[in-house]
Amino acid sequence: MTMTPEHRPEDTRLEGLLDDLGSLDRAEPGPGFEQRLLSATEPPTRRLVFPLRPWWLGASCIGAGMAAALLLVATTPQPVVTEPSSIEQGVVAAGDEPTDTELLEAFGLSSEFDTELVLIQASLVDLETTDLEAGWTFGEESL
Amino acid sequence: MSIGSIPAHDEASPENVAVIVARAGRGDQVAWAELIRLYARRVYAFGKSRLGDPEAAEELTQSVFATVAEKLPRQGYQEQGRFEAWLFRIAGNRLRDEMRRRKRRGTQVEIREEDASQTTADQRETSDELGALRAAIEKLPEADQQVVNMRHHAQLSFKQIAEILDEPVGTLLARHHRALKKLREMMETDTRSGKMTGSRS
Repeated sequence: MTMTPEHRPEDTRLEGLLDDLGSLDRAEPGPGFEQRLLSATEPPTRRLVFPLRPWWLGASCIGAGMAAALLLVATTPQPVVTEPSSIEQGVVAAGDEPTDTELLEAFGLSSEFDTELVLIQASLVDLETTDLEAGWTFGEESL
Repeated sequence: MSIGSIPAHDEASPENVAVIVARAGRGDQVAWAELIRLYARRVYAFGKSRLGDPEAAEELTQSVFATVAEKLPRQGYQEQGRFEAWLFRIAGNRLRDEMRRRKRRGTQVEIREEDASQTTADQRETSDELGALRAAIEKLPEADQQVVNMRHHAQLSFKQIAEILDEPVGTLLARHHRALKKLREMMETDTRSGKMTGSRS
């Protein structure tokens, strides 16, 4: 107990009572108190408690989301990208005329029947040769 | 008595505390057990003095030690005879947070009567006195309560209290003295009114 200049005997008694009250409270926790505290500070608990902080939880969610997105991108089959052929581009340089087979393939045709059909359709809509030729140069043996 | 090579309670000089704290920081469970044995009941009593109920006091103690467990390894705490001040500063902060929460919720501090069963007349008188004292402490201003509880429940020196509260020792001594005066007056009033009630009945 600390004696100040104005300390009185009543103060000493009161301080004694305050110390008794403190002792009672310190003695209050029953058996297992220290063990419970020790468990609360053991490393596994620390690892469990730590991620529950809001900022850490938020960061974990963002991280998990990014990882899931990366996984999705990595596992999704990608279409094979090839250079479009000159026919698909619709422009053929002079002296580089497409063959009949290439033309048929360009229109998705594979037989003479399909070729006839295209001709019939072309006549029905009254297509001018010049229209067909726009951007194209057909060989003599072609359509 | 020692646990392993760690000094026991009565040998806990600042140098020994430094060794224990350093080991605890490296995850030594024996050192943790020793830290808890040295300080947990003092933290509990400090919390109980303000919170009133044992469950809340134990929760506060757990929260304080969980904070120490989290910070000690990360900060590489260097003991310079200030571990106790640091520990009770954490406890004081937790206590202040809890009191604010309670204030917002409008929760009253529950003062439990001292157990008067199976006691002699003298013990009962002391028990009544302690109950009255506890109630009187509750009526003290916040700053006075803080000094009284840190001194008598947490068993801190005035120098340590000054360090925790960042106030001069002289100021705290004066505050403690004033608090004792107020407590004495409240208890005398209580005793007088009790006698009057007793004489009437």
